[in-house]
Amino acid sequence: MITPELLHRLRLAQRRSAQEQQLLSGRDWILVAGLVQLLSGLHPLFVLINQRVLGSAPRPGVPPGVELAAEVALAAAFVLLWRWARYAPFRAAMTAVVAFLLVHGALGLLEPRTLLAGAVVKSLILVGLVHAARTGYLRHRPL
Amino acid sequence: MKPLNFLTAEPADPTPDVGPRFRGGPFALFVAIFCAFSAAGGGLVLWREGLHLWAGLAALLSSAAALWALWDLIGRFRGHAAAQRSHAVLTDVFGFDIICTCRDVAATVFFDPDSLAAGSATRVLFFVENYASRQRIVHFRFGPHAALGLDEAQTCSLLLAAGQAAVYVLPRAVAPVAVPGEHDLPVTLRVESPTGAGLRLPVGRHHLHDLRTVHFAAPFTLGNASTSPAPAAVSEKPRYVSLASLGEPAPRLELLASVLGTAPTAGITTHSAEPS
Repeated sequence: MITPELLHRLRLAQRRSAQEQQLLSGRDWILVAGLVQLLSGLHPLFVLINQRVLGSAPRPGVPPGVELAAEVALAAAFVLLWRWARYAPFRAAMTAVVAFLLVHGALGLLEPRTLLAGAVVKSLILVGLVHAARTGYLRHRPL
Repeated sequence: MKPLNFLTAEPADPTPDVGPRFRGGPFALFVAIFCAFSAAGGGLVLWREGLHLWAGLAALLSSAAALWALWDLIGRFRGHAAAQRSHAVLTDVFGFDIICTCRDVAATVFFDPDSLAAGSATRVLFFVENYASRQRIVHFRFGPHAALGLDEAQTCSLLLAAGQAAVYVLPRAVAPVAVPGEHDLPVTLRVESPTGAGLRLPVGRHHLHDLRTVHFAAPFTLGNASTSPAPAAVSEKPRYVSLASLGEPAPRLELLASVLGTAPTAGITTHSAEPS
């Protein structure tokens, strides 16, 4: 029969491996958030093309160029954070959460309607980033 | 057809495949209902339009699909009555933290020991357990990892009988010049069902999501170089041993103890198995 000491040793090693496996999914959340963020930039891009090329009247609120630049910059930041998360998952995920809140908070201050536009997608991104931060935090807790 | 080049756990598990080839889950129920409606609705509409031949053909084809799906569902319910309960070695006996399965195979990969010095020996343990009523072929792709002497990715394929639990033990030596710190061995798991999906065996209270591909990152911590220049693990052979079978009343954990070198090995046959 297997000894309790061996079983304990195996459980500790397996739990460490399981946490590492969860970290993979945590990192992936940051990358997925970046890709979704990039897709979110399609709407201001279409508005910008509509205004510059087709000559439609400008809308009040945040200029689409500023919104597009913010969305693309945030997506690029998420991709960079995804790479950094390999070495510092918790710090990378927390930076992603803070960057996301700052950018969308600033856009919301300028034009509150942007908070409501794509609210479901924004919520999903935030849930994913919080999940990434949680798995990163769990890694550094003692077993 | 791909050549079958897989390892069989020792001792061999003679448990036969049981249950239907096709699982007949919610998708089969959807097909049965949808095709039954299509047979009735499509057949009646075409019949009233005077297209009797087309009405008959539509009803025939849709009914055949509905009956096929219904037969799968019946097979599922008949199989459930005869299905044995899994030993749930990984989730219940060992209490491992398993979050999902890969085509009904639960797996976990880790090092034992996972804190070691450069130049010392360790083992990579690949625990697998089949929670299906039909056999599976498990493909582990691991590496590359320079510190473990894996210049390129390697693959090992393991055969698992229905409900079988097993462990593949791969001894590795860490390179003496390896960089100290935290390391991860990347591992990708894929599973084949050569004789069909079969049924999912009851696995205690656990609900495990099923995925097509599962990635692992087996971690180990590397300290400074040990004084011993010759790693002991080089002379050991990989082993693939069975831990539990549906045909046996309880798991045989003494095999694991013998493989890990913490119990006498008298009377226990181990199987040498090199990854391809």
